[in-house]
Amino acid sequence: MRRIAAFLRNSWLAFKGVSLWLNPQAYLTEKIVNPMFRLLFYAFLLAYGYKTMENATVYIFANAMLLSTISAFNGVGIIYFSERHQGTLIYTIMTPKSKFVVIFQKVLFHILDALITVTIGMLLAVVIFNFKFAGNIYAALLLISILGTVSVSAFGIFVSSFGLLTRDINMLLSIAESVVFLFSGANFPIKRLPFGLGFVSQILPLSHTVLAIRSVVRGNIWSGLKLSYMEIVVGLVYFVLSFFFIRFLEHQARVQGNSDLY
Amino acid sequence: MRYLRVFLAVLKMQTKISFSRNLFKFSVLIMPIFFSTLLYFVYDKASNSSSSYIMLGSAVASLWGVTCYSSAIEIERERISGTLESVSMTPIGFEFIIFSKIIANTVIGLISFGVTLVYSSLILQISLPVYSYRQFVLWFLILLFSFISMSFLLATLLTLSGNAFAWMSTVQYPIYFLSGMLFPVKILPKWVQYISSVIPIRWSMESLMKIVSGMPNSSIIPNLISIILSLLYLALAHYSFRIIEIKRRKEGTLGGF
Repeated sequence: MRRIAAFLRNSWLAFKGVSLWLNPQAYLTEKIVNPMFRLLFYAFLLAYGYKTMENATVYIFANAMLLSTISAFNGVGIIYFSERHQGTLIYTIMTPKSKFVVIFQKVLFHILDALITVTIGMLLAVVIFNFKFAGNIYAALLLISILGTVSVSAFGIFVSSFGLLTRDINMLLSIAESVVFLFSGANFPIKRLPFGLGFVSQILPLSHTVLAIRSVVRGNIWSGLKLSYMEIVVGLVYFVLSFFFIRFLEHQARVQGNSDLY
Repeated sequence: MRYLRVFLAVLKMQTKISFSRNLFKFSVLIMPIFFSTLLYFVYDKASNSSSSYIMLGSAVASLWGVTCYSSAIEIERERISGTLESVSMTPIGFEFIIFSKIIANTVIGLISFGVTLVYSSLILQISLPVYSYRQFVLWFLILLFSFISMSFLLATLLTLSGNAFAWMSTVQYPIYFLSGMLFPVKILPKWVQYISSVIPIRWSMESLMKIVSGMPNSSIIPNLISIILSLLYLALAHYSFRIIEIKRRKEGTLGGF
């Protein structure tokens, strides 16, 4: 029990560590007001593109899911970069603790934070645009959102590990966010992409979640849930990749003695 | 002459500082491509108005993104850099320096406008049937004026809010949909349309969109509304700026956090 409490306390500290500038007012602005405006903007854009709000319904819900990228990239994405910036990277790299526990500890609250943002986005879509669904559709959407959030956060960890190599990760994070945004299929069907670029979406996070959301919103709950299995695989692959990438960098840092000087 | 010299110096410095930030390079060079690509796949390319939004709309949205994102935290950025005290004591005037920086941001942001036009015409193969280039340039200058006035007002209001960094990216989205940059304002609920009518950019966009749809547009009224609103915004910004200066001096928190 004490170990769990310590884990949660450290996890909370890690979350606060990259959100030092946050206060309740700033949190409200960044995590509630910003996503709200962002969702409204894309909802109107899609309603214009697909002629009616009804035609755009599935895309609006998919866009609510994309709100998870705010925490995945602006929160999870900067964990290693922030450690280096704050001069604590050496302790993270050299700790005898399992790297799996260290990473999980650092991202736990960001994942919860992303989930809160997505839930608010979906509730907002339901309330503002007056969408009505059966209760089991909401339950399925919640489950799919959890899996999608974990997967995109795993991708965030992968991108974050590049923060060990560069002094300015913002550009990389912004590009990653834009690529996920375009290739997720949340705004237009992937088959519209030319030159077989649709393949790219298959290996990026959220594309399977978006397909699952579209399926569930149209009433096909089971086929939607089946589609989310692939999202777990994608997330797992990125998590494993980032795990080995960090281990490799750690080894290099030990050999060259430059753990804070990449 | 002295003011022009200071403005040119600010423009030169601002260009150097801006391009040293990777995030700025992203906003100027990659964000425009993102916007036009997104609109290209969502909108129906066959219609004239959709083409206008894909090309001109995304170009204006990118320009707004750069101008707003850079300008909204201009005063805060000086504070963080530790140069606020020095800048505020310059003989030319603190307000003029900040105003020049905002104009400079808008001028630099024109690169993103150019990137969008080139990308949309060469890669996406979209064309704009501009009715009159002379009118287009004139209306576009009025649009830039509205950008500058809005950015100046936002810079002062966000500084007064005490949470400029948190608001920085948030203020972009309402302007995107209230101004009719990427879709017509008429699709918004009625009450939102009333709010949009006090945004000068909305009126400038209305004029510009007509010209690039190949329609004659001799009506000066939307542009006049845009100019009047922009002047009003500048007056408000000037007033807010005074409040910031007096408040900070009174509390002795000009450069403090």
